[in-house]
Amino acid sequence: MSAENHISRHEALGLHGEDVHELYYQMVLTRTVDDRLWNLNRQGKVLAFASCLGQEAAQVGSAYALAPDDWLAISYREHGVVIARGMSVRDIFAYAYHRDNDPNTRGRQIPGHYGSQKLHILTASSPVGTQLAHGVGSAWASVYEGKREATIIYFGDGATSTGDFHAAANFAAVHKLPVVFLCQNNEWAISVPNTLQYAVKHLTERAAGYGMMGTLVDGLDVIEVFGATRAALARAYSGEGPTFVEAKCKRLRSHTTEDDDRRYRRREDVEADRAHDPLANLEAYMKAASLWDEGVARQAGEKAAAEVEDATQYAEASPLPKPSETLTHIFAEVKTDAHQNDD
Amino acid sequence: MDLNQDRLVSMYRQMVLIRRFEERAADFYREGKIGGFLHLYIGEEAVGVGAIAALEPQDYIVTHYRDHGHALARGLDPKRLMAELLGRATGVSGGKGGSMHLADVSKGFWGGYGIVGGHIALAVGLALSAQYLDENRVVLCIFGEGSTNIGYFHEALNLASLWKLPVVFLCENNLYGMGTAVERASAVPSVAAKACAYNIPATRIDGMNISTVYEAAALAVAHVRSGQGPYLIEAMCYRFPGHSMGDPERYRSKDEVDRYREQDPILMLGKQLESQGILDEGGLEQIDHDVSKVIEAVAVFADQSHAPAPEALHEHVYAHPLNHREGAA
Repeated sequence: MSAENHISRHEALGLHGEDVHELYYQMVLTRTVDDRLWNLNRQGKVLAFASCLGQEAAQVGSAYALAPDDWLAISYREHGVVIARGMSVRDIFAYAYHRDNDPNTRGRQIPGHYGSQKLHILTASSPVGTQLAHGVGSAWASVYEGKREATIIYFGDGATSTGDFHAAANFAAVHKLPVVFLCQNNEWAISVPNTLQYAVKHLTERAAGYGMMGTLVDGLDVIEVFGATRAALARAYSGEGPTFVEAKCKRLRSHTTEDDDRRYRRREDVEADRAHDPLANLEAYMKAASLWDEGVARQAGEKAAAEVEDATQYAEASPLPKPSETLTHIFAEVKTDAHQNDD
Repeated sequence: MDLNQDRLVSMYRQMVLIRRFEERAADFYREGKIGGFLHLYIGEEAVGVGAIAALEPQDYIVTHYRDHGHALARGLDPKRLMAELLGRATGVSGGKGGSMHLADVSKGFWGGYGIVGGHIALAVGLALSAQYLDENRVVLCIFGEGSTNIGYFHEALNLASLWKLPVVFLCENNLYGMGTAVERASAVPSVAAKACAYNIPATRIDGMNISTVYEAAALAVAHVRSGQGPYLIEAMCYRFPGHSMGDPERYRSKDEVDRYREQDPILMLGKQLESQGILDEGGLEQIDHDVSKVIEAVAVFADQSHAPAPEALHEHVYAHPLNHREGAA
């Protein structure tokens, strides 16, 4: 593909060179955060979490397309999404360290279950696929209140086999709700590969069963993901109903820090998957589009490393929640005396 | 796959048996002798009779709670079925299941189930057992269009297709999930169209025409039995009475019901038998007369049977009851 074509891809979507640099930085930052959290887990400082390595483009590209009023229903593997949404790295690390100043859950949840009223992120669920029903409910609320908001729901290939997916997709389609179903197909549901998960070739084929538009995109290509998400959002805002976007990605690490994929994944296959790197992909695009010089990578790397180092120090120095406050921040309204309501 | 004359007459007789059985059951209900709910199959008889005729004796049936017609078509004893509706000990489920839970495993009839859509997963489990044990069995899973928007439908169809399990999914699309019209509950109102999302072959047929149903079911059963995986049939049909006995039917017009009554599957097959010279009017009346006699005896048997004894409360609950518990205290 010629340089002109590459340029036309981001420019055709109304993105400037600064946007592409910003996308690149957010992807580098996501990877730096992910790497540091993984190392801290191995040091015993951070509890179990799910790495998003290999899915940076799918996450950053889609979240970058959102408007501030839109809502997000996420799974537990979306560090890149919350970074692109504007969560500070300090807040991410305060959460990972379970500190009292974590604005997500005040240190009360397993890492990665982000939630923020300010950023319109519904708190992530651990059960696979339940956020699909939450997200459709959120979109319904927007319609009910007459607001021009969409809800994007993030989930993986494994979640598409759950009943919640089916009920959510049907309901969203029947009522033409402003939903973007953003499936990051990283080829593995823990240890179950795609071939043992569904009998269709692409999950987008499922969309036809709901009378819904389905879009298949290269989840390693941040520009393509951005474009597909923005088109889906436009459909959502204009009342045309939900869209199913399948972003094909690779999962470059084990399912979580507690999983060892050597038991079910051949090393040579993992090595082959590493060649499909969304960052290298974007770098090649930027070179072709004359948006690259050696300073870009160096500056991004240094800036991300500094942010992550600062956030680590910040979290290390922050206090843990007090045992006496175990029950605060759990319910919106706290019943101080459980026997009060017995009548 | 040919329907010979004897087969057609036998199907006609089965449909009339189901119709008269249910009319008598409705009377029992109004007399207060049947408790709980009663869901009539009147108008949909051609679907169950036609599809079940395509099965072999070793095959299995798993169905929803509008199940009287399916049980009768499978050859369960009408006396014991009516007794079950009345909650009598002589009933097929010992009088503890009632209308929605008719079963006779000796006939491969695993039952009606009360949870909408829940039984679709059970059918897939039975199909997995048949495949695993290398038994030459097909499972016929019957459900309504309302259950296709439930999570179980999705999970079950995906697994059945993925593992090429021997299931025929038979959807009785009678256009209403209780009082909700199919277009109000499903953005894709054709259930057959949903099958592509699971890579399952599917067909949509006129469920009021019993020959069409039989032929489609025979093709589906042959496909499934040959190990090629599941098949889905969407049979378009219509229930003439309400959803259950207490349905005020505010969601459809009387004109609509009348229009469908003109396509009454029993009437249609009767006309076909007459026009093909298989039976004359007298022959049809004779069948009706014979069936009415049977139903009279069925009603007497059921009504004169006793309720289960209080001591039998714990029977038929677990396959292997923990009897030692009684003495444990």
